[in-house]
Amino acid sequence: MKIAKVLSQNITLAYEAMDLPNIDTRKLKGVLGTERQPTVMETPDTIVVVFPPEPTVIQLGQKRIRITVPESGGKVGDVPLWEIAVKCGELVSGSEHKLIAYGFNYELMALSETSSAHAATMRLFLPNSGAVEAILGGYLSSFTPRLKFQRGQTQYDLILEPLDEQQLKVFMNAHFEYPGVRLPTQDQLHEDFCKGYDYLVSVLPKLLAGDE
Amino acid sequence: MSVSTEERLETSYVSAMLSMSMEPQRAARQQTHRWFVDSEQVSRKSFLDALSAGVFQEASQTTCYRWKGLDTLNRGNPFKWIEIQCMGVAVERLQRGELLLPCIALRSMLEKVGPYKLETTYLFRNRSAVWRYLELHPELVEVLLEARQRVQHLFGASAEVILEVVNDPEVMDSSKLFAYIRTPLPIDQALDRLQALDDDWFLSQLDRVGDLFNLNLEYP
Repeated sequence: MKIAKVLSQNITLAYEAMDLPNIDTRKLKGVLGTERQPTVMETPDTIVVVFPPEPTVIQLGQKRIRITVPESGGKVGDVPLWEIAVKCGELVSGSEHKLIAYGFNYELMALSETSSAHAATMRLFLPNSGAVEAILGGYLSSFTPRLKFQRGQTQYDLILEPLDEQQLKVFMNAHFEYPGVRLPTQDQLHEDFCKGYDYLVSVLPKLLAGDE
Repeated sequence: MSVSTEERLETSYVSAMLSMSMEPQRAARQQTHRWFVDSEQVSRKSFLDALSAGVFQEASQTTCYRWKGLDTLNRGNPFKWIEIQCMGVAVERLQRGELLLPCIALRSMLEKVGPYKLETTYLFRNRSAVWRYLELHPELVEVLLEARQRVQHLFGASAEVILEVVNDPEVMDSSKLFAYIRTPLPIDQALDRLQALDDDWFLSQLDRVGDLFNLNLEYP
């Protein structure tokens, strides 16, 4: 199992409430400096800022700030999502915007080197597929495991989605929610974001080792 | 801008929104729109829930889930989320008889984004396979946008271009993305123009596309 590509990366901040009309969009436009001119769009319950060229997308709405690099091909760390997250967090700081959680999202494309991804996930996570097929009265062609687990104060949501042939789309959310949660400093957030990715990359081959 | 122009713009905007290129889902989308317009009582949230559940099947989470939860899970293409927001505002404004200019601006912003633009300029055969391929080879997006302009220049605005990932079952890892040009031109003329496309542009793109992409003609 090898990592073929990073498909998307994201940091999301979740708030108890969000007062969009009071957010200064001029400052929002400047979170990546003055050289990169973003497109900004405001509707009553959405603010969207798109920075070229990757693009980097900031979405504010539904009680969340989402900072995403949705295009595939880049490396984790190429775009300083942590810096944008901290600056966005500062923009909405105040009693009306209480942070209740923050999280990291990574989407990767992995390649199974020895067998089809469909077969791999079924063999590893559904060893008794015959019994399931008997109940269903049909042939099981694919299985998508979703693993939710906790390590320390971090909750994880890991989805392994087999695609065609050897391709396996891997998604992981690392969710930080605890009483009095605060957004870490920029450096700490950077370190944590990269650690989260390293953890995923290190655990994936071990998790799927039974298939190799 | 005159009132009549604005009205035309609004009408065409909503029509465009409702007939965007996801053909298999078009009927569901139109049905959702009718349902909303018919019932003055339906809330915007209900509309968005239905829209995201019914239209964007590929998205991993529905708007409904997003609104209820306080999680930080964020999966899928953010531009679909933006588009849902945009449509919700558009319909709400239509109901109130207001102009749609903010929504038009948002749509215009979306159209600047390469992957979204592909959706509006190409037809797809097995859409999910094409997008999976492009996820693995994002460098093709720019080439495809350029190719579409070149095709239109040589074959005219009536030419349709269909994207399809073609696999050779006898060779491993042999997938290739094809853009099939569907034109009403006679075959000999179409072949001449395909040759011109190769000579004038495509052959000089081989460093960019390698074996990943090619163009061909298609006749029904």
